[in-house]
Amino acid sequence: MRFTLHIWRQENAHAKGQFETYPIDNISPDCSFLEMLDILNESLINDRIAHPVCFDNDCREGICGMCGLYINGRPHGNDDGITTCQLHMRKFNDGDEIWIEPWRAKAFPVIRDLVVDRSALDKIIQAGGYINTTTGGVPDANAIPIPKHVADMAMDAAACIGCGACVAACKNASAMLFVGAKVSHLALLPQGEVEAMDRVRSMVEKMDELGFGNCTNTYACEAECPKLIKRQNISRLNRHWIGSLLGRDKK
Amino acid sequence: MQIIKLHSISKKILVALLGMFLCVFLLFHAAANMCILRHDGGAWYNAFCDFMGTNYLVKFMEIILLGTFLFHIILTVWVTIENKMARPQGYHQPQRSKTHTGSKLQVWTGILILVCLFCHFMDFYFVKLGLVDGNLNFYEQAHQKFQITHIAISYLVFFVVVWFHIRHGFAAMFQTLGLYNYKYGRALEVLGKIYSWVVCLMFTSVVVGVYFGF
Repeated sequence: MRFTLHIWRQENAHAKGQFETYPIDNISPDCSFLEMLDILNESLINDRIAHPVCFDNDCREGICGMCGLYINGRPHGNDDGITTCQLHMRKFNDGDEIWIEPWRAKAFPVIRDLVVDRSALDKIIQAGGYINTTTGGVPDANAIPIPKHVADMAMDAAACIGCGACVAACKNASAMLFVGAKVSHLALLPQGEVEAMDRVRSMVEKMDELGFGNCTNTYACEAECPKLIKRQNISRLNRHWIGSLLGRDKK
Repeated sequence: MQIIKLHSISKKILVALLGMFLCVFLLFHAAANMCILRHDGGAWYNAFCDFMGTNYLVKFMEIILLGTFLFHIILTVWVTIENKMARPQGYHQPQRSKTHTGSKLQVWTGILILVCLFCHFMDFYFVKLGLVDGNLNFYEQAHQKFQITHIAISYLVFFVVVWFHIRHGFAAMFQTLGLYNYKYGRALEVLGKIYSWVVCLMFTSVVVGVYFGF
């Protein structure tokens, strides 16, 4: 297959970036998107045309959340429930023009080319996305009964890999789906429920401080989440926020 | 320095609560307008207008309603500005994510509603306040206005815009208030569709009914 790639090139965080065009040929339809970029980088290095294109990646099997490219107007490209590394070239047509951009958000500054700094998501987790308890031995699994549907909801929320596609997709660069998932998977379970009110306040305050936008219920985040995290988690976040405003009784 | 500190979710909750109040008012307004279709020479409708114009509780609620409108708009503008600031550099390619069209147009439909509302006030509300010359018999005023083709069409366009706005806004309101869950989410969406269609068809039926002389 043959493609024309338009890739965002930016020397560093302070440089002015621009799109560069690279034609590429002899790409197998079974090649993954990142492998296609590897092939491009090999040719850029061998032919001494330009510096290789920088892009984030790690596990390349859709579980680490490192890769993240905005491809032809969609985070992670033209498929549902996948990360960029799971996107294959057979999803494109021969001769297609492909526009590749980094995630765009004030909270995700570009470091170089297609690599952005997503540590803002880590800072939100540091603000409250944990259970603040000293643990002893591991209790028996049946010692704390949890209804199956609650465990399922918590597990679904915990599937979030923090790739930032929700922020990239949202027209407001809002991180509500991410925070909603992180709040939900802890608050739904007995161990996390204890600190649920404090957690939601800390995480939302940090989210606002870091410059993410407000949710306007467009649900682009849900449409583009590679782990299919549902909007119900945002609703739960809102519910817990209201609870934290009305029901927190502290000295 | 931030003069008023409101967290992102708190702002949205306020917008939703104000929107909920406006939804209740809209249903009330639409129901009252249906009196125009009665062939009683405006007895019911004018009696209703007299009540609305003289009752002190209504006058108090009128101030609350205008405040609600104003606060709803101010908060929405505030949220929109913050949202624009959250992505200083946009994407080159237009977004192709599968999202609701209404949600993307919410701000624009809101602005259109504001413009249409001003024209509507010029026809009726400002006449009541004495700011604009016009017929204080609102039954006659409605008949005079809605029988003019371009005004009737303008009102129908207005109702389509309102339909778009509340079609998304109604379900979004419950989502923001944390009531959209796995159990009732779908039901709330259906309720939103029913509400938006019912309210807009009630308004439309009055304009169409007067125009064609039903």
